[in-house]
Amino acid sequence: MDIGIIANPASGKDIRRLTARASVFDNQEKSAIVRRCIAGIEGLCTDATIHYYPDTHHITAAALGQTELRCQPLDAEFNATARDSTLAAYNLRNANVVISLGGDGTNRAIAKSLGDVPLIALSTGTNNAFPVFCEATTAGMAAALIAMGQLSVDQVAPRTKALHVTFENGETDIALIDVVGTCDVFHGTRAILDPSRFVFAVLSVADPSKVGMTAIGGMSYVVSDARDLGLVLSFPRSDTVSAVHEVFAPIAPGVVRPVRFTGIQEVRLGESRKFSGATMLALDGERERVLKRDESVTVCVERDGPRRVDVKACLEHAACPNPATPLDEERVQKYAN
Amino acid sequence: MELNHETLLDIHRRMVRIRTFETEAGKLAEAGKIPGALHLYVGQEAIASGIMAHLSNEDWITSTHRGHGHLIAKGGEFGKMFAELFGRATGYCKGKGGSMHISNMELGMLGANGIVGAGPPIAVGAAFSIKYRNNKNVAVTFFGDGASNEGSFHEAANMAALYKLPMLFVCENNGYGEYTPQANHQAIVDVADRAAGYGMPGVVVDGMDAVAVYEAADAAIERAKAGDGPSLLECKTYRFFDHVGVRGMGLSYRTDEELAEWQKRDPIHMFESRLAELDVLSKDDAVKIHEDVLAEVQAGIEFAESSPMPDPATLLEDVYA
Amino acid sequence: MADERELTYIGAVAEASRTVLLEQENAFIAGEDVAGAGGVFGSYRGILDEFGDQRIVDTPISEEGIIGLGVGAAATGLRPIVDIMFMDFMGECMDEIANQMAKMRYMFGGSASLPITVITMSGGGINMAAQHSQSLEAWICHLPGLKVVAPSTAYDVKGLIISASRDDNPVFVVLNKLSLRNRGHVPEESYTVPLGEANVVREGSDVSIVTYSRMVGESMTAADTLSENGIEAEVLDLRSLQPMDTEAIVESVKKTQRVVVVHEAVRFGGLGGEIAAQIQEDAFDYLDAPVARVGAPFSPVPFSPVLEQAYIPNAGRIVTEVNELLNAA
Repeated sequence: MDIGIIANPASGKDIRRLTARASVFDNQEKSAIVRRCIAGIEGLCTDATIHYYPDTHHITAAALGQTELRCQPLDAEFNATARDSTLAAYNLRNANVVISLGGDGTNRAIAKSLGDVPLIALSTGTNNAFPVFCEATTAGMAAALIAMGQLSVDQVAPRTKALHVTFENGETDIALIDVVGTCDVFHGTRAILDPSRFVFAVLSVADPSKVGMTAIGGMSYVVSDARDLGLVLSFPRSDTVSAVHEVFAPIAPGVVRPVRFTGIQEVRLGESRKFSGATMLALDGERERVLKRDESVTVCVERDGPRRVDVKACLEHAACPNPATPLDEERVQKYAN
Repeated sequence: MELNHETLLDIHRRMVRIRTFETEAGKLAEAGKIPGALHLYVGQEAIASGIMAHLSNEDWITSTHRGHGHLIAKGGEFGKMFAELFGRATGYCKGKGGSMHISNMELGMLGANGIVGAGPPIAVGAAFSIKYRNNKNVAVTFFGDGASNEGSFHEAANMAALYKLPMLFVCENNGYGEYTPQANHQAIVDVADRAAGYGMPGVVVDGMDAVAVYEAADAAIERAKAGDGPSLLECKTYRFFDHVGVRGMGLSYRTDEELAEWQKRDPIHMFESRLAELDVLSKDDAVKIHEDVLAEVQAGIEFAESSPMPDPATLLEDVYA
Repeated sequence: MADERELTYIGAVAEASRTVLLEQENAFIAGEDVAGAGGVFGSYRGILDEFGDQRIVDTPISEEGIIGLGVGAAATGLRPIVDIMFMDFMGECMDEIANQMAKMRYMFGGSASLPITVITMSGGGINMAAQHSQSLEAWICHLPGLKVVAPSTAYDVKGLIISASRDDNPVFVVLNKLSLRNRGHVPEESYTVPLGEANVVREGSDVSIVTYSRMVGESMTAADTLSENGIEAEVLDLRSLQPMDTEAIVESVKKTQRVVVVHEAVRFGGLGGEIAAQIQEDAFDYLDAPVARVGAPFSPVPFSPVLEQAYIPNAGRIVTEVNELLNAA
């Protein structure tokens, strides 16, 4: 039984602690979250092996000090960049389940190479449309149940959608929730800050209960995870263009602003949309790539995102309506001591 | 916040001014022409430049032992700076301070400081002053990862947050407290994590990216001026030169590979590449700016070298007002 | 003289503080327990109500932060009065005192002014033991850039605090705990006692007692006792320790030819040694006997009242020292 853990030390520290009122996840808290996951895992399963991303901040390593589970750091050429999460996921593509700590950005990096492995995405980021707030102990228990083969992965970890981004030169990238074109010219602090700079957005999910672009779309038109649809928004580039939608939306944690857009369209799975002209492409809320004046990009929604685990469903499926099988007496004794 | 061409070129120029001054100062120091110790700012230019692009002479800063860059970015003149480094009467401090105490009150620069961590409490005082007079300015204290272990930092952080002072704590985390790597001097990796303990926001910023620093400072200054109190910006950066001088004392405490890895992210090279892509500054124009600044630096050195030494009779002046 | 207005020593601190805040719009007071509580000794009673919380600020227990606040505020144009409750706590903030406050002007080539008044308490006698009873004025007198005064009377407290607040340099006003309830004449109006001027509080011809702070009172008592035996001691209250009124000391020595220096601080390395050295440099030829010193023994201040009484110099010891000096001559 192989369980992966990828905790991103950089999540939850960006400028939105200043511009918004985003949560602070210091590294001690992240380490405590990992520790709670481990407690959940070892509570149900004593012979799992933990394969973890050895982050430079020692978040996971610090949390593994007291566990009796086998723990192995992933062996790869990590370099303390976002690429690490992708590389770690690649090395975990044969695991039974992976637990991630981060925001949309972290999970996006993981999704690039995780393949079919169920992903328990715990939120320690800022605009978290993909990961969920969930008690880490029960998340660990869900991981154990999956790893032990006690649940149907299709039932508890359905495939999410992903946005495929293809550049003219053939390079590709993905996003999980949104691809946004802005008129920023620098990566800067990476967060997208100013609605007046939005040019277009493609959404895989439009959820008014989340924050960020997904909420902006979701305030007008809800597109759930389950629906085989995406959404394209376009924004006015001058005051003379009249907006067709005006919503008050939570553009960041603690920041609700009026946002105007001029167009809102459904897009079917597999249907490509092309955008051109000088823009900054922000993927899942972070400025990632500059599109030059004469360049274009296509974006397409597919049903091939990571298998995201529904922790609640896992534990509900595992709940036993019949008389419980007797507890392993040896382990009961261990806890009694 | 609008990053127009003028602002971009302004930030660029500040960075080039620092790099050129420090490079030439380093050569002079290694040639034995500057008395005492120099702590050079090469590699960290994006931080001083990105922050100072927001500030006026009415905004106060406190600096560190690595303080030339802060003074240059705040508007320091090369001639008076070199004169101070050379210990001449025409220096900013009349030759009484030198590299580690270089300062200029008119530019709002409350001094480089030879004591690690001494600046934050002083900046608290400057910020208190601003608030007392209801001025719309800020005080910025620069300090390193090493200084974040000094009690003075913690006392200042607590007081600034308590009084909601218009202040920025800018941690230039270059990974080393003098020669000791961060992992050997604190259990945390992000100094920004300490902010929450004082009731202020803390963020991690790419200190090699001038625009990232500029954006973060913009947000922090806006908060400060709105009366929301201080913020901590931790800028991850690296010292391209040694702790002291250029090659320093030859201690082996970091690897050439580590240095080379950081030099790939040279703040000036990265910024110039992007400015060229944006047609803000062509490669040729950038070269021209470097040449102009170098000429200015050389004129500054000449001014300093031809300046008189202080009259020993001035020894006892300026002890008291 | 009977109808002269009187205040306590501590009352004079409050009155001086009020006067300074009225006279100088850029003056403010900051320190531990100064505002809401009015100071642990009552030094600032009533200031908060009259001036509001912008002019008198409670600080955290953060001495380095407090002195830093003073340094930064003074350098940028305010005129802070900062309170360090006990001077024993200077250990917490010695960097900001010694390396920042004292040196900033000089290091900056004279471009910065630091008009800071630091009010602090010295001395034993109230059973506060080793960390709340010291007389550490020698520490700060050793630092070029600082001025230090140590008033002995309520009159001098008010006049010296007002002078300190008008001075453009950092000035430490070292008060004395055991003197707080002493009453003395204090005019209601604003006045100054100049920094650097000693005060002959008793004229005499046989011996000079050079002293300051609470030891002025002990010296006066000693002088009365000596007078009963026909010895007329002159008592010189230095008031200012840095700058020190060497001229006044020399004048007195010329008159009496014999000197006892008295302070509550530990004798070894205390200011008495400096004063003795100055006397032998400037008035050696007038001396009929070596300069004698009375100070505390080389020990921390003890707690037990019996031990503490044995520790702190008093009138009896001064009388003994004077008698020995005169007998030796």
